[in-house]
Amino acid sequence: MSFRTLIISEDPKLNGYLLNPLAKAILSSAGKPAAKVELLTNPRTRGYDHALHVIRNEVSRDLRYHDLWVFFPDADRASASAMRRLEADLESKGVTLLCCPAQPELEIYACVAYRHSLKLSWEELRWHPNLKEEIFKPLLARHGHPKSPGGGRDILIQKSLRNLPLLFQMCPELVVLRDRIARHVSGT
Amino acid sequence: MIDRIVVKNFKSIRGVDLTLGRMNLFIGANASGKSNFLEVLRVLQGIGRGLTIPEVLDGVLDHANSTHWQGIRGGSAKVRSIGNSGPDQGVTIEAHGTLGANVSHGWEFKITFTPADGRVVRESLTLDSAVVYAVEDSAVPYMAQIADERRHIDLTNPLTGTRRWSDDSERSIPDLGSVQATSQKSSERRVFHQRVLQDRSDFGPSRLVASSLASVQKLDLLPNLLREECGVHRVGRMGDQGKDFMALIRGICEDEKTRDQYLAWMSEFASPDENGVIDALSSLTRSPSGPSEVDSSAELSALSDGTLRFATLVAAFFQADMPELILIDEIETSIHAGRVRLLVELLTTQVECTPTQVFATSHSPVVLEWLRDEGLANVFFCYRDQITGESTIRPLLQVPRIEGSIKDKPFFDLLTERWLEMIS
Repeated sequence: MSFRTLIISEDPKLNGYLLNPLAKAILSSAGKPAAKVELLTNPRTRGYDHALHVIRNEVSRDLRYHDLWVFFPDADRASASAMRRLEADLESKGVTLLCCPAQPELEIYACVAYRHSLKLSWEELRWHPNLKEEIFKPLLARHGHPKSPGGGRDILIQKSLRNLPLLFQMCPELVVLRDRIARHVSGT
Repeated sequence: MIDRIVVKNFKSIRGVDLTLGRMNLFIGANASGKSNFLEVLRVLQGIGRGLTIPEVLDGVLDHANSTHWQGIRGGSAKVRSIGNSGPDQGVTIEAHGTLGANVSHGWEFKITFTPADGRVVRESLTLDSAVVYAVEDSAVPYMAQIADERRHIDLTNPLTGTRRWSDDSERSIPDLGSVQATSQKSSERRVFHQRVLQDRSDFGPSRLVASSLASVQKLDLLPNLLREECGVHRVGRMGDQGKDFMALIRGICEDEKTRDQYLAWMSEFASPDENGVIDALSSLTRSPSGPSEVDSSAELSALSDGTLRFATLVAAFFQADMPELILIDEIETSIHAGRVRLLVELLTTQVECTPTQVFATSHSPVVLEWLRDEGLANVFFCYRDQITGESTIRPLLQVPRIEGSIKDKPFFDLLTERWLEMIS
């Protein structure tokens, strides 16, 4: 029986190109290399507040068959306390949800392999107020390809995933997620 | 690219004036006027190809009695606007466009004709605000005396590249050299194509606008035709119904980078269990003279209609010979709702990478849901008045109270409960 994981983002339109390979790599590192990963697209989440509403009220019954849910919000609004409350709410409904706020935004994971070509320090990137628009999109224009699905987002994230230990080192929240998944898998 | 279009008295359309974008979506109930609008673009295409108005409306058969040009649905008898029982006021089509992807040369083509007798009442072409020609009134059918003899013509546009006719049907414009002997009055009625020929350069304004109007691909795909192996090895553009699809794929895949991009779309479309999709498409890329472990035709024939249709839609944006306009009726046909996101991404991103403008119709609320990010600016709502039979087409965002409703209600409710019709 394969391990089914539901991935939820604030907006799945293009984030799937980053999250699907990222989640598979983390699951593999956590001991589930054959896990099936599915991105929530119906209903389509539209921003942080809507994603919370969907998770709490719309899909918690229908999608319980997944062994694990992982929510990847941007860190700006996803406080640790809010995430703990959300996880607890879902646990009461029989769903194991792990939240992993991306610091500052999801696109940071695709920037890891290209960090030396960027003019800002890694610390500045991690706290950049507009990383997606000002850093990631120009990077995508240089290294992706507009005629490919996702504009070539998969190219960028795959390059970061080629050195998973480095990605974990640069983005410690992913290590926390990996370890929590591993504990969930082992039942401890 | 056509930036704006004005239509009067064409079928159910009494009068519309639309500002267009690169990706234009028309929504509305069945028989609301969506397809009638797409047919306006085909009328322009026929004119651009040099057909007479009766030919454009009623179709043309070639010598073997197969279809050379598919006329407008219902032919000239159905073109007269609904509810117009008085004297024939004539159909007016006014298209405003730009030539070239980077350099903007604005053009305006206007034509008024009476569908019953094919008479052109007035016609004009303007380029960069300068009148190229303007003629008014004629008593005999437009181009009715044109010689049967036709000659093929390659229209080359320096801004969008060389075009070669490669559709299912032959594309030709009349041999206007034979027109010289006819009267001045009748020749006036062929003024557009006279001008095309008088453009000594391939890049003269009339020639470029004619080329632009004619460069339309209406994708009306037939799965069985997609599965047919064709006689040619490679084409730059497939036929409107999907003829030569396999040869197109071979052409796309000759370049490794293009091939990878094409197959990346198909990998996203296919579920992990459907490896056969990529195998089938990859098999087409092998040299026909080289060793082949699989029969590519058989592999491709085994694909589902929906997969084949998506493969064709992707291929349409990788054609070496890109049309200026692609028309697609009911884009979601045969596509699973879970894959509609990818379809919308394909359409919205590829129009930005190619010189092609897309006009599509849809009944799917899922399509609208995934278009939210683009601001729905080029979504047009078509509504047919049940009493007068007239179609109204307006930007969705101009429907009263729409913005609040979009926030409050899912598109599914707006479409299926006919809420949009109620408030229009």
